[in-house]
Order: sequence, then structure tokens, then C-alpha cells
Amino acid sequence: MNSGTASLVKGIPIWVAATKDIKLPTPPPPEELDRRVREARALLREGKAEAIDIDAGDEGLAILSRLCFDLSNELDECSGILFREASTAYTIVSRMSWTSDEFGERDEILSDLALVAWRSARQMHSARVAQEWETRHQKAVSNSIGLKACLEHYFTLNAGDRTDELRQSFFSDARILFAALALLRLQRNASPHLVAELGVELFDWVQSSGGHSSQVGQVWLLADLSLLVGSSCRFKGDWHAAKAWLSRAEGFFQKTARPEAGLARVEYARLALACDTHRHEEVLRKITDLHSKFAALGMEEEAAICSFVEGTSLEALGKLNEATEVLLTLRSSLLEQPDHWLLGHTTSKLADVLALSGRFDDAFKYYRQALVWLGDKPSWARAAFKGHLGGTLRDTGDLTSAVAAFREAVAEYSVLGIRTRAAYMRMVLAETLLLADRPREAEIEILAALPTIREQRMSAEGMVAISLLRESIRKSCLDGEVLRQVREHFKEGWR
Amino acid sequence: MTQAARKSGSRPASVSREEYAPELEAFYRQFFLPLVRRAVRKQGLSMEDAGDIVQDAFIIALGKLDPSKNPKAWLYQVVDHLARNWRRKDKRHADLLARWEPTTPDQRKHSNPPDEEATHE
Repeated sequence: MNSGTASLVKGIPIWVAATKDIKLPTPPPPEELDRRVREARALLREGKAEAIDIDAGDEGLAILSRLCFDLSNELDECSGILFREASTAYTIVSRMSWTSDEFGERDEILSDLALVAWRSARQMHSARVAQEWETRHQKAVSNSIGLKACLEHYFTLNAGDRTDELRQSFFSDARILFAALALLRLQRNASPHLVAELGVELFDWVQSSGGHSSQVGQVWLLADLSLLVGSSCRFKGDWHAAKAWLSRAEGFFQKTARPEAGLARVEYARLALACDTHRHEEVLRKITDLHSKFAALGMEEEAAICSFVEGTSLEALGKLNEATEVLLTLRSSLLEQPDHWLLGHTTSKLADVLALSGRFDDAFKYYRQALVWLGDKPSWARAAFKGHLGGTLRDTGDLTSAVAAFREAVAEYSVLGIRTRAAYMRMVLAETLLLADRPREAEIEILAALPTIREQRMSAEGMVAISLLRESIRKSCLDGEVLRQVREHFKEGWR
Repeated sequence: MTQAARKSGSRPASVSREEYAPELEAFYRQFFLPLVRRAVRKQGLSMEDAGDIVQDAFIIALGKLDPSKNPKAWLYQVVDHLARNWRRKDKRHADLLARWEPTTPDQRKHSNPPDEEATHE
């Protein structure tokens, strides 16, 4: 418990006792508040930020709070005046200095204003302007302590406790729904299963209830939620569900007024899926155009991810020098933002490519850096890192360390619920255990992986290879070549 | 206040305002007003009504707040819930007033008295 929370808990009994039967001051008086909000709005409509006398004092924050409510509830999705009011107010608030902010009020006010500006901009400005406001909204939401705490409490409830009644109570305010969407987007990498589950629940609820938004707002919500679920299914390795949700997202985005950014995101998710399922030529054919689209829309983060996918596909096709160049350039640009989530993932991939090129010293240098940036919580990127590291250790002949790294990768993929990746990694681990002359342990890994492998779509040859593998295990004479074939067929089945 | 009183949720005895003045002032600005503004921002309540709601939330907190489970998030939710209910009731009240209180003299002349009309429903 931090000191602010401790003061709150300790202070409540004293506060209640001391303020019993007292009418507490809540400045300014109602008429004064109405008048000041009216005046502020008149100036905001004219874009005169400097003429508005407002600060982060009691009265100023009361005015801003009422303003947030008024603007959020006037949303007709296509008002230029509304956009001007919200964007100017956002500028004012972002420049204010705050003394104390226990509940993350500043970021919550900014998120309300950015959301109004974003939703208005989507109807009347370029996709680039709309995108800028979406980014501001996402940033404000992710910084808002109070909002995050509330939503994370909801996210961590058991599925059975997330009833329609509770959803109604939580999300009857569309602002909370958009904030939930922004937060879930940030958690796809670390908790794809949970994000997909919550995304589907919210999608169903918005579709049936309207999500307390206008019809236009509802279509946007459904489009964004479909994309969220589609990308989470991709992280989970559930390719078929991912494809279906992405098609759904595309259909909804096409019904919106400024679909460019949304459609580009769908296109990216499809290319990332193509990369996951080893359709690398397709990725390389399309990725440059998509990168340009993102750059034109000012979607820098998405453009950076395109470079990552390009590097991955170049590596898979054996174009190691080109892959190194792409990943080094991307890493250099990301170094300007050391807390960027993609930095650790890119550095890990770069290390993998360098190891494949035989530059092991450079590879281990980058692995060490990547480990620091990837943090200590399980995530898709960290699991991939462990897999890359295991491969490099195996290639340098350090089989004991390689086995340990692969086991960690299996454990992380399993924690994240990414069963196909975990099964694939078990097969790689089994091959390494065979190399280390530990066939019994290899058999255990294979037997653990087989149920998942058999669930996959596999060719007739793949099924024959599985039978041969089972037979060799039964005879306690594990055949490494058959094992390799099953792994290849398994990977092939992702296409 | 005793642990037992806190657990039971009963109101604590009065404390000396003078003795706790600096703490109360800090609590007012750090916690009370931000929660009041939250209710204004989310439900459009008047500052005064929002103040009553936040006081109610603190009284509920006496008996139900679990310090180990993110007290700020818990208070946010209680304030949101109370504010939403308040607004719903307020809206219902306003709807009823609009229904029973004609605005023009002409309407007044032609409308039935509330009690009489109510009996027809």
C-alpha cells in the first residue's frame, strides 16, 4: 500500500467522525459553476485557450469536470464545434501544473477530452488527425491510475462473476467502454487468452445492448472489439478464429466514415498472421505498402511493428543480411524510447538473426540487453526470447543451457495459454534432449505435445509421421528424424 | 474509533476538528474533492449532490472497505454506483415533475390535478 492509499484508509474514520452533520463546502456555487462553464465553452468554441482563466485549483477542476460531462454527453459524432472545444480544453489541461493527484484525475480528464476529440475527428477530419487523438486517448487511459485500477478489478473477476448486470453497471458510460478497449489492447501480448475472452464478452454485450453509444459509436466499438479479439486469437495461435474476427472487423470498419486507420490495422493483423503461418513471400510482397500507409497516417508504432514483421520474414527466408539491416535500423529508432514494448522483442530477434549468421558474440550481447528490456513478467515476447536463446545455445553446443532455455519457453507459452507454441517448443526441446542423449525426457515432452499437435490440421504425411513417432516411443527407441518430420509437418499445418 | 465500530460500519464518535485540522484539510483536497468531481464528471451531478454522495461512500467504506484490495478503485466504484443511482432517481423525479406540472397557464387550465390523473393509471 503506498502512502497515499494508507492516508486514505487511515483518514476515513477520522473524516467521517469530524464531518458528521456538517454541510461540506463544494465550490463553486451552482449558478457560478453554470456561468463559468458557459463562459469557458464560448471561449473554447473560438479556440481561445489563452483567454480562459482556469487552473488546477478547486474551482478550476470543478469547471473542467462539468465541462467533461457536458462535452461527453453532447456527442453527436460529427460536430466541428465540439472538436474545437474538446481539443482546446485538452491543450489547456495538458499544460496545467498539478500539486497532488491521488486518483489520476488529470489523466482521466485528458482521456475524456481526447475521446470527445477523437470521436468528433473520426467524422470530420483526416484519418491522421483522428489517429492522433486516438493515440492521446490511449496514452491518457494507460496513465490514469484510478481508471486503470477500476478496470483491472473488472478484468480480474472470474468469468462467472462478470454478469450482464455488472457489465451494465461498469460500461453504461461509453467512456469506460472505450477506456477498457484501450487497456485491453495494451494487454494482448501478455494475456491473449483473457483479452480474447473479455473482448468477445464485450462484443456480444455491445451488439445486444448498443453499448450506450449512438449507432455510429456502436459500429466503431464493434469494429475495434473485433480487431482486438482477432489479434488476441492470433497471439493465442488460434488462426481460424483470428481470420474470422479480422473479417468481421473489416466489415465494421468499412461502415465507418474514416476507415483508413482501422483497415490498415486489420491489414497488419493479417500480415502478422501470414508471418506466423510461414507465408513469408506474401508478407514481403505487401509489407512495404502497409508501412507507407501507417507512416502517412502518423501511426508510428504500427509502422515500427511492420519493420519487425519484415525482419522476421526476411530471416525465415534465409535473407539474414537484409533481416539484420532492417532490425538494426528499427532497434536504433526504438532506442530513443527506452520504455517502448517493442525494443526488447526487436533486440531479441536481432540476436537470433545474428546467431544464425554465426555472429554468436554479438548475439549474446543483444540477448543480454533484450532480457533487461523484456522485464520479468511472462509475455509473448519473453517466451519468444527464451526460444531464440535456446536455439542459439544449442547451436553453440551448450545443450544443458539450451534445454533449460527451451523449458522456460514452454513454461511461459503455457502460462500464457498459447498451446500451439508450447507444443511446438516441446518438440524443439525433445530434439535437443535427444542430442543431449536424454531420450526418456524427450519422450515425456513429445507425449505432452502430441494431444495439441493432433488437434491441428495436418497433412496425411504428417499423420503418418505422428504414428511412426508414437511407435518409436512405444519401442523405447526414439527416432530423431521422425521427430523432426513431425515438427516440420506441425509447423506446415499453420499455413 | 474502535476496530469493532469500524467492522460494524457504525458511525464513529465525534472527533475534535481542531485537533485534526491539518489532516482534515489534506483529506478534503486529496480525496474528498477529487471523488466529488468524479461524480460530476461521470454523471453530471451538482457539486453539492456529489458531495453528499461521497460522504455516503465514506460511511459505507467504514464497514466494507478492505484495505488489502485497492481502496481507491473500490471507492471509485462505490461513488460511481451511488452517483448513477442518484442520477436515475433525479431523472425519474424530473420526468414526473414535467408530467404533472404543466408549464403554460393554458396547459394548466386543461390538465387534471395530479392526484386525479394518477388514479386513472
